[in-house]
Amino acid sequence: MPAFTYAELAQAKPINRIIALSPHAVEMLFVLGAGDRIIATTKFSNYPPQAEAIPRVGGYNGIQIEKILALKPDLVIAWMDGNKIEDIEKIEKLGLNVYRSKTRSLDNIANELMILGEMIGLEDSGLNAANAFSARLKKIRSKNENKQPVKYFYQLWDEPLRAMAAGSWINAVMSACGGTNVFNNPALDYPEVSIENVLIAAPEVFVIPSHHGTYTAGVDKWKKWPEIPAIANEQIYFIDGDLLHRFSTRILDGMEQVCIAFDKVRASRSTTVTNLNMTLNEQQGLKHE
Amino acid sequence: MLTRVLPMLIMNSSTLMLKRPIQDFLIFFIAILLLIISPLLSVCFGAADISFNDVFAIIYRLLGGEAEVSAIKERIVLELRFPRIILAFLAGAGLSLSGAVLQTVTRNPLADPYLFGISSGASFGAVLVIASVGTASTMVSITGGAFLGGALSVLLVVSLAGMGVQIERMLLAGVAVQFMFSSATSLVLYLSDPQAAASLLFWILGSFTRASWDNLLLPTVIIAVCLVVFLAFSRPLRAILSGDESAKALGVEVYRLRIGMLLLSSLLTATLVASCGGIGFVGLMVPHIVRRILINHNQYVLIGSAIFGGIFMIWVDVLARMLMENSELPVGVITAAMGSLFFLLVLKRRTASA
Repeated sequence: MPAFTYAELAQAKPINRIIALSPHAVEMLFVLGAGDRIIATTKFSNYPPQAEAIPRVGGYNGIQIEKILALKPDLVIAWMDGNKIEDIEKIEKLGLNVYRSKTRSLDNIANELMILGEMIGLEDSGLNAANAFSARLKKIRSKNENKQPVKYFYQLWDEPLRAMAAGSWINAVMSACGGTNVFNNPALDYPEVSIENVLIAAPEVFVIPSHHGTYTAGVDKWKKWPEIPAIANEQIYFIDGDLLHRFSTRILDGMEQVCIAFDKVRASRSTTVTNLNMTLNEQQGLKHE
Repeated sequence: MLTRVLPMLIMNSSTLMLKRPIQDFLIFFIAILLLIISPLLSVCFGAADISFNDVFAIIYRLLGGEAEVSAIKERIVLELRFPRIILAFLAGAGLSLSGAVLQTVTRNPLADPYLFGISSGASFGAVLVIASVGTASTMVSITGGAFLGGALSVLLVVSLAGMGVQIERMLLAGVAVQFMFSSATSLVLYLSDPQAAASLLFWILGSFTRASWDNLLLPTVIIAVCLVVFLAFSRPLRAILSGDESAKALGVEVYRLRIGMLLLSSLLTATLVASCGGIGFVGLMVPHIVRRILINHNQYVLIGSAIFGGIFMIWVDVLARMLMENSELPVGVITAAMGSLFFLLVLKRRTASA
């Protein structure tokens, strides 16, 4: 048990200078109404648009610790899965007030909103944001929980072809919409796959995220494989990767888009199933015994 | 040149065939057998369950016969697996050929396009093109970038080592150039974001997943041209093996031949880097083994390296797609693991015999 709660600590020393070392922390602080307290962030923090003006202290390749020290922050929000652990430990050792943000599950987003609110003395807006998030998440989940499962392929990257496997946390977004990942790879979260792997997996839908606003993936190379149900029925959906890959409240916007896409897939089943070039039997025949 | 060399090759082979007929016949027979069996057998390995019977039926149909086989299996074999196997063969053949020539002109059995800096130069060129042009980069521009990088590394090695006879200097220069280009590539990787870096890493580790009938033409033509040129010069090349001075005495223009062969090797390597990334150590291992098998037939080392290198790579690729379920392993990782062990083995034998 800590001697003080976060709220008590915040009262003792108001937190006005925050360094947010991830795009999602910046988004959360703006949600809490503390966007103007951010004095520095990292490379890809681009939302909301006001965030573009915040000075930068590093990116994926590491953070500039000396610059952080010179800025004299009251709080540094580090990202356990995005910043280097050595860097985080170093700024902690230097005596800065560090909060370690963990991007592991959807429900944890509400939790983090609450903790951050307490830490910076905005308990009420933290609680409100957390409740709003949880309520919206619950609503999307209950709306989709009894729907028919949809077999999807998440094409994370085009060249080389990279999937997102069931172990990854993005998977939770897709399963909330009734999605079943065709790559249930226990060893890797983002395995490299071949066209043949996708062919056998026979997904009903492709979900292709953008990366920093651009889509690397071409659909052209798939057009000659109408054996894949998603291609035959033209069920390919492009979704802004910043929505799906960021651990902030906007992930629910992405989730709603995915759910709408999956509904379209379900609707397409009744009309086009007979057009499939590959019968179920044939697909079964391709799998190793 | 070709008209002078070819009859000589044929004459030589017939006299040698008579001396050691059984062993020669056996090697020849095994090579042909492996050359036929490897593609047919390796095509059965992959994510989809396709049996030898299926493959047989597909080929029978291709030849105009009537056979029962599912359309999807036929397309997987014809459009995904065969191009991939051919690309693997071409890569193995080309890299081994390049390695065999480099080993000859430098008179060092440990020379290889990878150790010589050509692969890292070519990888750097390819990575730079992809990183700067992005998704718009085409096969031709990547090959161009790879060749420029490869040629630049050869020129650097030559200018660092001088045109002289000191082969050791040349190899050291090769290692230095390799480090230089590797660090430049690392910098490009470091500056790109993680997803793009994962994609660029492909060029460094090597993979045959991009194989398709359309992009087999360029490597096939370049390997064929290089093979013909290498074979045409196989006699002066063998003269170099006995030392620069004695080669000169035989009328061989050693420096020009060496530079020409180095540039051709870099063209060969660059083409392969552009289509399947940097695959190391094949050029080191295969000619080495082939030279042991064909100990009395030096004139066949080049063609033998090409054939066995190609067969070897077909099976390495089978490992790459079978070792992990539902996922691919980079080919370069497998060859580097095998190659480094081989390197140590060679070193151990050399120290033991010294």
